[in-house]
Amino acid sequence: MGKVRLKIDGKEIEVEEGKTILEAAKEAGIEIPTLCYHEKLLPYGACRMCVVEAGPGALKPACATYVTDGMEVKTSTPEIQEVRMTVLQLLFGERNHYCMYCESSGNCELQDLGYKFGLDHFEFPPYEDKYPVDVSHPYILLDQNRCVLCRRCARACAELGGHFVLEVKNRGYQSLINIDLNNQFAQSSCVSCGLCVQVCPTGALVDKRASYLGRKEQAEVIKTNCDRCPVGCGIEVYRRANFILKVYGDWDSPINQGVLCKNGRYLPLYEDRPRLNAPKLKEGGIWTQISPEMAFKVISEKKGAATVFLEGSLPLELLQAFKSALGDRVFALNEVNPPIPSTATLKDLEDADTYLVVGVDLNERYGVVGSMIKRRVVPQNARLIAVEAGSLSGITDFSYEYKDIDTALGEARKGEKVVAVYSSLPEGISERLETESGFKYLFLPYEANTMALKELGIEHKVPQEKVKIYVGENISSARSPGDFIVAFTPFETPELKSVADLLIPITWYLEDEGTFITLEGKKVVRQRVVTPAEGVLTVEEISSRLLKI
Amino acid sequence: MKKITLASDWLEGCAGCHMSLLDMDERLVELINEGLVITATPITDLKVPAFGTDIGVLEGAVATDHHEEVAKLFRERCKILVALGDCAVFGGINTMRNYIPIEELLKRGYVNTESTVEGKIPQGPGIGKHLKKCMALNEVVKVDFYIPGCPPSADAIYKVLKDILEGKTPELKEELLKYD
Ligand code: SF4
Ligand code: SF4
Ligand code: SF4
Ligand code: SF4
Repeated sequence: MGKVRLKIDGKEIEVEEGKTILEAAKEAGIEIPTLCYHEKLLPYGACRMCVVEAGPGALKPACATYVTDGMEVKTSTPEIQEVRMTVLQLLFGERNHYCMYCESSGNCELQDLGYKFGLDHFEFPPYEDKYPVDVSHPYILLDQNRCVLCRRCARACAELGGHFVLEVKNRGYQSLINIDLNNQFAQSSCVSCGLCVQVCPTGALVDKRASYLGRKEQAEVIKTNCDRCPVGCGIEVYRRANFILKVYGDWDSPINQGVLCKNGRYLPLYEDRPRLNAPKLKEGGIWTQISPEMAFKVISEKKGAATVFLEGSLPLELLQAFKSALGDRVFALNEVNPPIPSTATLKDLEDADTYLVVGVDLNERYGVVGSMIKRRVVPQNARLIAVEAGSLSGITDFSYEYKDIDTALGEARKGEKVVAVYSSLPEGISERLETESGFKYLFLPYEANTMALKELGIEHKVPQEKVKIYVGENISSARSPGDFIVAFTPFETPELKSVADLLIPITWYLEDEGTFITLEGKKVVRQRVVTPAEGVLTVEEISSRLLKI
Repeated sequence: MKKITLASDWLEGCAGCHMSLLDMDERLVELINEGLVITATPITDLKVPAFGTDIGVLEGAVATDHHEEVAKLFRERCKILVALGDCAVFGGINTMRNYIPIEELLKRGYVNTESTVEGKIPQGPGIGKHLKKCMALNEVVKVDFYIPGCPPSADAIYKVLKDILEGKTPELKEELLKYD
């Protein structure tokens, strides 16, 4: 690409062709105020905070004006500053910007601009109309009275999430964020990825759970990785004291570039199964709390007869600890092997022209992979062939049942760069699928750390033994007379208590550090963000106790 | 030493801004030693500013005909009028009532409140009548300086008064400029 020479505020600079004035100025270390602009989104030019002088005629939005050779740009003449102040006054005056009772006060880009420009009163009598508030969504609140119509939410929902739920309706001051076509949030096609909240610069879209629990400056932000599925997205966890306020996507993560799904952003924070906080033993139908020593004594006694079943949701270190202690009597509770091994990486999703998604609803699981596909399919940059892919069938004309797999494959073959995406496949289907020579294959491992089980050579087996030790967060078991069932688990659900004999509490989610192997085979480390409750045994404690049994 | 007189009052506010004024603590004494004379305030017997008062400070939004009268009186009698706090500056939390019909609002407050027995809406010549809309001070009279904040910090109030005493144009920046 060619270079372009231009002058910004008298400074001679050279930048690549195709850059905007805003980007060029940034490179030159010159700051231009913005509001609707977002680094990860396409330029929109709605708010006019970034206006600059660039050649004859009206002031131009720096975020949406491309540099040309010999251009002379002025970014902060008194005239420009006055225009920006008027823009700010209009933005503040149009809707309800009484910060003192706004959740986003202290974390609002409009407010920051007000402070920066020394806005200390309203020039225009504010806000005569009452705009709708939508509280129906389980996790998100939309207050249109605080909206500045920057359209970041709609742009992120579409461009990054691929969900295309939000748009703007009406004109001028009557403009409103439109959910689907005049829908309420709760009834809409929203998949609760939370991107809209993450990009909203104001208090118009807020996280219900984190509301009023603390401001950004009162929270610590810890970068780590999501352990809810094998995509392993980069996350930013907002922690205040020993409490997780919210989870945001990490814009800098090479895996997900800021995008998250419901399972990563919201679900773990709404977990409400009762926690197990001490080892418990059932004798004669009565549960009694026991010490960890006592619990491991029981395990040691049963050791000879016991078989261990590990969930793939556990960190590598814990899997390893059980494997070292109990060797060849350690199995995976769930499937481990792919029906067809992966040949693709997430990068291959970026330029595929055809996606063949089989047997998995990417709106429900592996949501960020879903976003990577949907954001290219909906604007018709690529085709989606959905075979029993649940709600994904709603965005494609090519939706099939398993019995029509041959038609689906025929349709997929019309593409040049085809990526098949699947998790478990029913018998017969994988055989049909794997013979396609032109396809790339992206296997979505069954659980967050299935790949670690695979690396450790732990095979799947259906539990049949009399003495079983389960380890995981979603344990359920059948029980026959004479069985002895142990569960290392974070949760003591009534179902589990009705079948188990011994329960030992383990850490869960961001309570412990641990390694996860993503679907691409990358090792990522989940940090400890919060301290577990007293009595809960950490991976380290369990490992050292297992060594001694 | 040149004396600078100050009068203050509150309109539809919570008195929090005046608390912040008192929060200046020993700096209030400092300002007085530098010539500030506090005349009519809500806690003095004298309630009305004298003609030619140098600084008038008003807290609270303009919500009733009484407030409007006080605002106009202050404007008429004070050389410099300062809007103190978010309610006076922007209208503030009081403006929430602009979206509820007045009758409904009064009923909710005085009659239908869960803890009220045989409530009635107070009426009489001493009680202000609600204006159609609750407003910021600058929607009713010209305001010279603004101290936003809910409440504004004692530091911000001190800065503005000190600047005026020293003959400078007050300007709030950075930590002193807050909307909450
Ligand atoms: S959205 Fe921002 S500017 Fe508007 S009230 Fe909330 S904090 Fe203030
Ligand atoms: S949560 Fe996600 S899917 Fe729902 S509206 Fe926001 S960005 Fe769109
Ligand atoms: S809701 Fe937020 S992100 Fe969406 S247009 Fe309004 S201010 Fe912008
Ligand atoms: S796609 Fe997986 S790793 Fe990414 S946020 Fe969702 S659950 Fe977490």
